Amino acid sequence: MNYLNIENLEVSYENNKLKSETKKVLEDFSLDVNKNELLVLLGPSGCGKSTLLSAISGLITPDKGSIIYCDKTFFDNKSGINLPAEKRNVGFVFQSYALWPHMTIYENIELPLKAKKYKRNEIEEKIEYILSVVSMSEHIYKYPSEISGGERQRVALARSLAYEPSLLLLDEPLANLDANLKAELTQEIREIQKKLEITTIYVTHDQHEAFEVADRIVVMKEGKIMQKGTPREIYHNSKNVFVANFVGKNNILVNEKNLFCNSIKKCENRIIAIRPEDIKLENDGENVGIIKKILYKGNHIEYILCFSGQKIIAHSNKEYHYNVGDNIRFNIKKYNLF
Amino acid sequence: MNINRFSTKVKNENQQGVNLTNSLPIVLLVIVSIFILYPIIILVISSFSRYGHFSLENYKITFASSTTFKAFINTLKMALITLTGTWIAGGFLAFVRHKTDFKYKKTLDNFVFLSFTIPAYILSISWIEVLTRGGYLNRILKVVFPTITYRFNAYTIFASAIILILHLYPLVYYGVGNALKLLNGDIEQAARVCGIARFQILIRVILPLVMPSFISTGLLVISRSMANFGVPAQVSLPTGNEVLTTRIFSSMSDLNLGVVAVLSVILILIAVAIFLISEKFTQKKYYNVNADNKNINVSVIKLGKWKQAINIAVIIFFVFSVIIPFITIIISSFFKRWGLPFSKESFTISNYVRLFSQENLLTQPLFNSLIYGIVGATIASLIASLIVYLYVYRNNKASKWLMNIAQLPIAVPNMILAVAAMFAWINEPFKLYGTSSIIVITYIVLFIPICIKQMLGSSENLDKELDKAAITMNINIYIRYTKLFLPQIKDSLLSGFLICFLISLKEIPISLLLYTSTTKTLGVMMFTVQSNSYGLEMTSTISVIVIFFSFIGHIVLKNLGSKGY
Repeated sequence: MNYLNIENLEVSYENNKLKSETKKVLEDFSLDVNKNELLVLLGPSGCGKSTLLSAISGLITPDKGSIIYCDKTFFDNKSGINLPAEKRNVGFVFQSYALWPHMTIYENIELPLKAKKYKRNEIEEKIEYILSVVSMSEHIYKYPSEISGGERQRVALARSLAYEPSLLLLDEPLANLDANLKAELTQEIREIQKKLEITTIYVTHDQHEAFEVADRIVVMKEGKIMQKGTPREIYHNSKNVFVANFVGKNNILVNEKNLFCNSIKKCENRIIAIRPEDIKLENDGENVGIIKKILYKGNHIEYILCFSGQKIIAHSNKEYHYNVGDNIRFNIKKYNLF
Repeated sequence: MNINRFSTKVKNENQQGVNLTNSLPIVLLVIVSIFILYPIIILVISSFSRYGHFSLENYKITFASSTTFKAFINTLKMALITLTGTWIAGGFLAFVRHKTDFKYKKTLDNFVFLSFTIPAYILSISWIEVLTRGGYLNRILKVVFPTITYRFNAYTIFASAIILILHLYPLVYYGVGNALKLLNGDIEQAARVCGIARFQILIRVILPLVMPSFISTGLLVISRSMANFGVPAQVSLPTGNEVLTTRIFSSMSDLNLGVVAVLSVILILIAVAIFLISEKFTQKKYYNVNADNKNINVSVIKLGKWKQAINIAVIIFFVFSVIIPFITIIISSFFKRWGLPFSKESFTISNYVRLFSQENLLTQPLFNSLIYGIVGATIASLIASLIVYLYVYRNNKASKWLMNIAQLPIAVPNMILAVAAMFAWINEPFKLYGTSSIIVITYIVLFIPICIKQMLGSSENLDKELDKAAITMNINIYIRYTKLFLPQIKDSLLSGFLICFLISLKEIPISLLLYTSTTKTLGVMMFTVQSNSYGLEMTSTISVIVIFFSFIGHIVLKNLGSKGY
């Protein structure tokens, strides 16, 4: 069942330097989000992910298209509907957390509840509950400046969830945190989202974060969808060179003049993408390359090979006694053709 | 063998470096103590001394006087009206500029900038030229409505406050404007998404976040209006409405030095208290609202049906605060004699000629102002840069003390600096009263904290390791200061110098209290020329010249990207 339906959306910004020119950030953009799904928008900076969130939340007005949530039209240029941000009942977690620095954590969560005319005892209950969900009950009367980055992130999440929004939007919520905290909070966000059963759109440019948290991933480039699918589909069955290159490490090669033996012979002159872990170093391998560099990466070893004049990266978690300059044999276990 | 020789050389240079490094704070401490602390201490001692003995008599006399009490009340009244007015005008314009879709933002900036360049004293001249009985307004009214009697009293405390509002509102505009500009757009948008209404966002989110800027600029406005002498002297004093600064001036004229000392000490205490409260507010960093974000200032309030009303309000404000003062001063400067009827015969360009050739009225004062300004600003910049260098790279107790003493004059009204200088440098062994040195020294005292403030801003971002790296390479302090430190702060050094130089061109109280016939300045001429054989036309002519210099100076400063803008 589609919960959020975006159709033919177009958003453009005025060029800062040339005021007369406008730049299209999203063009003919359509997307469906399912009920209780956690959908990740993944893509490089400037691809329009955050703009899409702003359009859904009502912080910016699209030029064209429609955004419909369940039966409620957020925006539709044809019928002239543009529901103000404050009436969409959407939760938004910003990258900067956007906590109101002059209010305590309690007051930060209380203000939106007051705005929505909840009764005093309901407000108390909701604050108590949501702070327990994000494990922040003990910091209730502290100011944002008195808590750590991870804790601020939790409070921002609590504030967006307290008034029971119908849709939760997270704009790079973990971008300002260190790697360990990021890993911990990614799991927490996932658990909270499942527990509260809330449809969520999560923006990130970090693919590891995306894989850990997503039900489905939408890979974006320059305002367009390049591929959508489960994390497994995106990783193993990349539909185009951009996705293959952007998601995980990949060797992108042009298979000219029977570059590889046997297995890929038939695909001459097509672009081939091979994940480094799909290159198996084997004594009886069909192909031969020269080792240019050996990099120790902790959980695996990275071999940079020269093969028919092209650079290939291969990963192996076995210890071989190879040296730089040695010939090495390998087989291709899996590949994608474009 | 070679290694030993090298080691010895290094040791010698190190010793020399250490000596110079250690002696510099002491030398600076002595200089600032003599120039800044000594006069203030002498002033405080004088307030407690009568006929060479310790006494509270001066305080008793001062507080028993009803004139002094009235001056207190008037000062307070003037400061509070000014505060309210600047908050309303500056806050409103800043809000329109930064939070709405007001169309003429650049023009608004330019007009506020023009307001900033007009000295307060010149605004008061224009006030008199327009609103007194012989002023332009009454002359126009007489023509249009001959039967109406003009009863407006232009010489009141309220008049001083209005002029100070028109002069000081840019402080609030820039202060609050900066806070609004830096306000993280996400913070406001988070409130919108949470369902909070626009008005509630303004009251509950935006206003509390810019409140520290309102308070700190408000305190500055109170301090500056209480310390102002030129405006109340021109538009309140003529009807006997004294404020503390004019009371000090009239007590000085009556040679009532005990009262002068007491009033000065009281003004210092009030000013220092305001300064300390203000510092507390600016140090309160929990409102750290500026962060990297993509949505900064995306949302502006659409003025909609209010558009025309706001446009008209802004235009009216600038007509009264900038255009009318400019036009009246320029027209008056071409009158043969202030008060003559509007006819072709009444106008002349000879006022300008008289200033520089025929009667040579302004050549010497202009020359004096330039020289005192340049010398004062140069020495102050040098001392300030050394103090900032030690503060940034040494940051020990001595450099902190040095910084605190050097910044003290920023809280002291200009007039009190002059009074303190007079008390300190009138007797042996430092008898400087009556010479140009006393004006230059007082300028240096006034300028040091201004230069420090300019340089501290850019020094805060300096990498503290730079100097340490140079020390490990055995580079001496002179090279470190001249070749490594100065080039990094040269822009703020130059802007500090220019700000000080501009102040010297338009300041009145210091030179007015300390000048002699050969050490007159532009400020003295502006204040006194009218009382000689000239009328307001000559004051206006000098004002045009001061505005011209001030305008050019501020343009140069603006282009330097000075922090104050």
